[in-house]
Amino acid sequence: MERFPRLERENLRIVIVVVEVAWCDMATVDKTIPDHFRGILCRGVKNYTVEEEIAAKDTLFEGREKEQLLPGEVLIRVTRCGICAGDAKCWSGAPMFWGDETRKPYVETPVIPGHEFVGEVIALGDKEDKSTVKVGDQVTAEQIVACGNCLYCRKGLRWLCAPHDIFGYHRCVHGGMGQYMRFPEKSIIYNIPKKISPSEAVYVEPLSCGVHGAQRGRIELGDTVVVSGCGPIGLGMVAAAKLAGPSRLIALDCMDSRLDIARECGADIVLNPLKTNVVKDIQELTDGYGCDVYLEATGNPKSVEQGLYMIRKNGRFVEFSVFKDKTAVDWTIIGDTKELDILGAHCSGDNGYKVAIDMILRRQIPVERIVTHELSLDNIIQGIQYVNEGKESIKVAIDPTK
Amino acid sequence: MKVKAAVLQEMGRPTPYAKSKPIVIEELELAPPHDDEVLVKLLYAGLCHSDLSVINASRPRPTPMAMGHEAVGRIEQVGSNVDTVKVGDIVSCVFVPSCGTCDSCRTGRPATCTTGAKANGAGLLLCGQSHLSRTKVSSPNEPKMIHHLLGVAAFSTYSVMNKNSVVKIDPSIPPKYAAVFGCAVITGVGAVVNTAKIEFGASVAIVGLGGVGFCALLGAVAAGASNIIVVDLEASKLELAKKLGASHAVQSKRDMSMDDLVQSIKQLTKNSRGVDYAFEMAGTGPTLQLAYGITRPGGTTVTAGLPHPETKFAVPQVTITAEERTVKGSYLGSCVPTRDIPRYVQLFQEGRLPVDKLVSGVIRLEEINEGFDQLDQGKVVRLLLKLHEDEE
Repeated sequence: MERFPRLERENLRIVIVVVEVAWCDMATVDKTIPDHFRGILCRGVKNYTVEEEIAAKDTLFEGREKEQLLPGEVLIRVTRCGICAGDAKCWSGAPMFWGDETRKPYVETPVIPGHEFVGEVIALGDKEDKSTVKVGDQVTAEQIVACGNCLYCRKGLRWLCAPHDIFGYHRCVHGGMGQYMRFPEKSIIYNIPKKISPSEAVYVEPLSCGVHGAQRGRIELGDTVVVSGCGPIGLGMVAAAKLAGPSRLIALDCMDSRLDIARECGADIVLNPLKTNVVKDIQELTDGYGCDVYLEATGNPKSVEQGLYMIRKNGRFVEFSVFKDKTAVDWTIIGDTKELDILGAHCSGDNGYKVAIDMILRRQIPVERIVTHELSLDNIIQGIQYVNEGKESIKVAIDPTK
Repeated sequence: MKVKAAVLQEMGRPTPYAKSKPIVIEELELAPPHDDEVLVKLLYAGLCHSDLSVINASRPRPTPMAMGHEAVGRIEQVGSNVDTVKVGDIVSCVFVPSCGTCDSCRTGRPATCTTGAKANGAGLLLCGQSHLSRTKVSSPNEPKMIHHLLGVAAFSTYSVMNKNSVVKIDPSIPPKYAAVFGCAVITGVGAVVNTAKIEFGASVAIVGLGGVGFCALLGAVAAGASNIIVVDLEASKLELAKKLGASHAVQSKRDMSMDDLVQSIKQLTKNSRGVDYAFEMAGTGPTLQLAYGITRPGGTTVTAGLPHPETKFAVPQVTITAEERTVKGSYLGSCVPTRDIPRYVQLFQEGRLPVDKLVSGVIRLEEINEGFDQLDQGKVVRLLLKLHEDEE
């Protein structure tokens, strides 16, 4: 009784709450959810700490009592969470997260980071049309929780939502680098069949981005497609582009080990720009015309230039990456020289998650070759360093259960 | 020169064609090619339902007419103005002789070439004449001049065509399989990748598994569709379709209610909404109704079917608006044959478009009426005519 001093008073309250449920649609939450749990807190630049006792009330429930799960909310026990290059850049202090003379800070601290998560449903707020998700299901949610009201949401471009509440960066949507997560009512939740293990499911979000990037390229059957950059996004683009039936799918990377994996993802030809003149190679392959589609996933200005030179007139150039350095090109090439379609890509588009889960289910991509490291929460800094270096690892995931 | 050709005497003779013999193998005089024309030695020609539609008068053409429009052949002679092919080239025949200068041709839409359509309608070549005539007639009323089907007239040992009716293809492909590229492949694959331009991951339904319908299936598989539902009357065709990548095969029966059929197919789609893209490849009113019915709100229904001119497309008109529907016609697969035929041939050679699986059998000119009976009964996918015994 000493451990639960309030229980006797609560017995009475429970009776009242049960009566209230019928009127107010609030779910009673399984009392096995602790008041505190283990997780990472992003507190500032290069200040990510492992916390033993993150208060569920302050984080998951935004100050509410933890019994008060609102209609449509879902509580999950996290099984894995990936570390994105974005997370690594945030840790390092990149201005896009912390602000500078031209932009306001994006990340709100302290926040539990992580937007590439998978977990098991442990509780649901009552809501009839969320009946597609049940307790025990393996799920993920779209990394962005769209507001539904801004210009972009109203246009159906929810991944460009103006308030841009992405899990792990804003305090109303704490992320997956902890033992528990709460999905707010506006989340879009996807059921991931248990045939897919957590170690594979952790790749769903990055793959969904690769899918969206490849879709932006409007690849046609028989096209010559080049993917530049074989990290988690680029490899996802290779596998997704493959589905569209290009007659030649070419992957570029400066690391031969990554090119090997690109081949396993479906690349017909792999080339290393450090070892060969890739622009010339592509021109020779295409009777001098150039490739139909170039998917840029390196974040390196050299890759942008190379792509603009190797793409044919009226081709589609998709840009997904976040850059550190500015890119400089003679802009004439976009219009007068080549009349190009330059297409940016951000997050997962409309159906990136659906296609990604389907691809993993059908074994259309070797996920086990892409998720290379699974670390415990304690090793978060090591994980971030792996991602920043990009040499030994491809996708690094945190396993909060370890 | 003298040629042996399958000549349709008149349209509308009753089935079985083995008995009524609407097609007679005749010896004809073939005039030599003009400056813009080529002489082709035909190797294989496919029997397409569009040929059958002329025979049974659903697609009226002037008769007597030398039939056949889907074929592979070898160039034997070229006119002085021909620079796109040379003697010895292996070519695929195209059933719209695109002129290259009208508005359609100039905007990359040779399928809707106005000059070509006019020549085809008259049963003549682009030059405005026929090159085929009977060597002798038994009565003064019997016409001497023979029309050309679609500028190709492929059911013949030799044929003269406009240079724009042929596309050079890789000679290493077995001619038996090359035959289907001129019609079934570009019409079927093109409907999916050019007319509809499906995205990888899209859900697709194909109603009607003839040569064109099967090619639409191969196109949908190659372009990454994630859920492919096929519908046909014939169980054997559905079996083959599943082997070639269809996710669900639905056997329709003539006495089934349309509503029941629509509902049972929609249940195979996410939330029973219907497919993103439905392709009607059979050329009848009911099949287009079905294809339209199984398309989801906001989805696209594509038809490449060529029904009788009096067939009307009957749907509840309000649904076009209320469900924001798109209905698109697809002719020649919205292809640019000079670009797409070589492209699809290459995909076949890479194993991505296994069109060889569609060849149901090979027959001789003398068996052509029997061949059309088989096609009429819906039992075969693609029957091929072999025009020369001494060729491969």
